[in-house]
Amino acid sequence: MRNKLKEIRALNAFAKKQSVGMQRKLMLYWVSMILVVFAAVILLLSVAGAFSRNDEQLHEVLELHLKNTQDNLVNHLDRLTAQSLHLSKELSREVEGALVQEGISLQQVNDDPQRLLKLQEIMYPLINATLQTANCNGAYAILNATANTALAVADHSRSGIHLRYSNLSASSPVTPTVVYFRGIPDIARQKDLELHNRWNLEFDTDQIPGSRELMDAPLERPAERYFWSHRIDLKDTWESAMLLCVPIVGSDGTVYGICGVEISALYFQLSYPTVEGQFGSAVTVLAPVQDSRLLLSEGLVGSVNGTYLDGQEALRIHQGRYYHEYDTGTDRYIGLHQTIPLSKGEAEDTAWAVAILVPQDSYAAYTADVQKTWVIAALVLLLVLLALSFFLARRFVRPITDSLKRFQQEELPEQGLSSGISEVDELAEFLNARARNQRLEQGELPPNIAELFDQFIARKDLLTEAERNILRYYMDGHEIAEIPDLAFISMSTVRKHNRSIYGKLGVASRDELMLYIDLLRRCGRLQELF
Amino acid sequence: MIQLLSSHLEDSSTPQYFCFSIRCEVCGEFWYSSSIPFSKAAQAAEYREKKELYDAIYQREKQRARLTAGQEARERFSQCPICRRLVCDACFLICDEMDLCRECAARMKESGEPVAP
Repeated sequence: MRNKLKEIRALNAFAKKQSVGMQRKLMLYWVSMILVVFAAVILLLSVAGAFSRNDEQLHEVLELHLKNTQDNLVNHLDRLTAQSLHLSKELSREVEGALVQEGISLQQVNDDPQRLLKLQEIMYPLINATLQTANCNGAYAILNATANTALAVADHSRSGIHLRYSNLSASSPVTPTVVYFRGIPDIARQKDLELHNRWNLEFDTDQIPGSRELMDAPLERPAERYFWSHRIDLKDTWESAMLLCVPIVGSDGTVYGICGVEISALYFQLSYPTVEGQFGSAVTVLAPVQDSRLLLSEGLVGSVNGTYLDGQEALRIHQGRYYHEYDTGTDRYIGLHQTIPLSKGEAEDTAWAVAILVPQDSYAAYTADVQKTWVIAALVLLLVLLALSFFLARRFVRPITDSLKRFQQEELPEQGLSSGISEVDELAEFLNARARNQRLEQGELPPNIAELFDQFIARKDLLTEAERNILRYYMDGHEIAEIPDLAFISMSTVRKHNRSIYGKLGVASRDELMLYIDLLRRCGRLQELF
Repeated sequence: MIQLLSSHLEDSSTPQYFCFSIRCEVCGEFWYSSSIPFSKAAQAAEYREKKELYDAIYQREKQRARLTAGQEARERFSQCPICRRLVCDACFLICDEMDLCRECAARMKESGEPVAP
């Protein structure tokens, strides 16, 4: 492993010594610059939120959540409707049986507390059973009769029983206590029930819009017409609730009264808690929609933890591509809603909707977080690429600046000393060659050549006068063949002198001797040989 | 030098060969040039009617042979700068100051080495 590492290091060191073309370096530089621009574009796009698919994700989450909630709620309400219809039938049968046994009609029960008591005694077990079995917090039945028709409120006061759970809370949902909210107190005493602290003998039907109409019109069967009331305030209490109103229809089509179940705002809150998600707290809402407004004050709102909803708002709906915006005037919520059929046979066509609402603030905080992550990542990438560009630019320029410094200091690099860039090496070599030529032209010699010349000139002292005479002929430009005629000596004598001259001056041939003479002449040092 | 040598060349030619000699004025030894055959030596004997023509050719070739002999003598003879005599390489000494013939060197007490021992 170590050997491998050493080999790799050696290879790296060798690669560093190799000259790389300026074009390749420039290419690398431009690539890094393009990457920087790319990172900057990513940064800008991420700042603009182009990469966050938050809206689509929110849409998917809300849609799924809405579907689940809708299925759950519709199932819940359908079961309650079915149980209320069943209660209606049972009550109808029992009340009708009692009336037939007595041989009277329901109107004859008016102003007769004893008969009303008897009827309520019959009704109580059925209502109580419904309360115990249904997923609700109250059950009731109202007879279209009153104990005292002489009273001023007699026209909207009706006898009946209303049983409710009193101690609903998230902490003890298993053992609720049944309290007696409406009805003749004798039954409460018989059944050992606690009276509600706001107990009343009879119902105020004005509190339940539509109930009078339901009781007054004859029907063939209960399923023909029933409805869920808007959220109403329970009289003299702080509570509000929605009531399912199902008619108690006799065999002759006479409506004896209405019955049904109650879902209070508190019960709904406990049944439908907020769902904490990545986008914030999602609140479940069941409310009517009118004029592009979601009327929370007339519907039920699930737990509102983590939001500023108080259940009394009328939210203006702004349709969106991925989600709708719900504006309270002060706060904004985002979400989706879906209308569901609640009532049947009602003349007033109120559209009810199941909605999922998420505070826009929390969603904005989430998107800001995501955006921040993108921005930071893009910024880091940009910084890294900038650092890389800086590093590459330095590496790109450094050999050039180093070479320039050497040129400025007139320290021309020796041959074979690589700067790392082939073009710079070529330039250095070119400048070197030019400088050498200039020096030669100016009579300057490279240091080693000057030394050779010095040695050559110093050795001329070894020559005899006769040899110097021969050398002079050469210096004058004569050939060997011309020497005998000029010096009147034989060619053999000339050759003998030559051998001696070559040996003393340290040259191997006449060509080398003539090269020295030529160079010395160019340098202006030829006279030093005399 | 070539003129000097030419003037010292002595004709030792025959009708068949051209040859010249130079005598060293120090040692008296003769040097003979390389023999060059006459190109028409055989024909000259057979065709007497062309004798005049062959004589002209002979003279022309002899002149060329003299030049050649002079060039050949250039290899072996020097002129002593003191006594101006033409001397062979054996009698011509390479001295420090100046090359001299053996006799002049001896007279001036200059030591030297002969060109051709």
